[in-house]
Amino acid sequence: MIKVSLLVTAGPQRPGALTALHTAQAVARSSHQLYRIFFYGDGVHLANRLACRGDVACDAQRGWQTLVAEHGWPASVCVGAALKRGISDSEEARRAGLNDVNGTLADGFTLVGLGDWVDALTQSDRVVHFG
Amino acid sequence: MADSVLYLVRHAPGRGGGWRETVDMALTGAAFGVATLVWFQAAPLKVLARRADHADLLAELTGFGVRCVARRDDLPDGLTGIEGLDDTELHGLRRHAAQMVLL
Repeated sequence: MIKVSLLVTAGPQRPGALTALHTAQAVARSSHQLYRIFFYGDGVHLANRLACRGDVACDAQRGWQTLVAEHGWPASVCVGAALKRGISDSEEARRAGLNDVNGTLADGFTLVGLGDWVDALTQSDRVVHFG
Repeated sequence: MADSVLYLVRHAPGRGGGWRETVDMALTGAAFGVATLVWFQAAPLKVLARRADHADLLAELTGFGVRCVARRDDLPDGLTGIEGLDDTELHGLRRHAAQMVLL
């Protein structure tokens, strides 16, 4: 068994977002461990529960959000990249004085610092990047 | 376990947040002791060469021990802090890096 982490920087409109999702499903079904999925750059849009463009981008978002919530995948979203793109959880929303205290982060995702990226790098046997 | 990372950088400073996010990612790894290399592509090199603050921008990386490289033919004059390498040397870096990330 090897530990696999995924780095997802592909936004919902890019093919890499769906390819990453299919890869995560394949790893989860295999004998290998899905150690961490780290969303960075435009990849953080995949964790926005309120965004829907009504096209393939929406499919990628809904696919990720459904599977993360159902399977409890270790889905880490960089807090800096997320806040810049209007994605926050209730705690960050409250801290920023935003009206929507529910936040926009989909269920199952967690806002984390870049230290979690380094953790994925150093603790995983393999890290696969989807940009 | 990855003990070295090579970042291929396409983002130029001053355009969106791509440069900042790339630098933050590289610096965080370096701060935790991960050997970190940054390979600048031609586009960010051209922008860096035009900026008066390019030395400060590069010093932010090199100051943390990040090794900055570029293809020798792509490297404009006057960009100190970036090593110009030939294709064979760059290929060697790619082969030896435990992890490669294109940002």
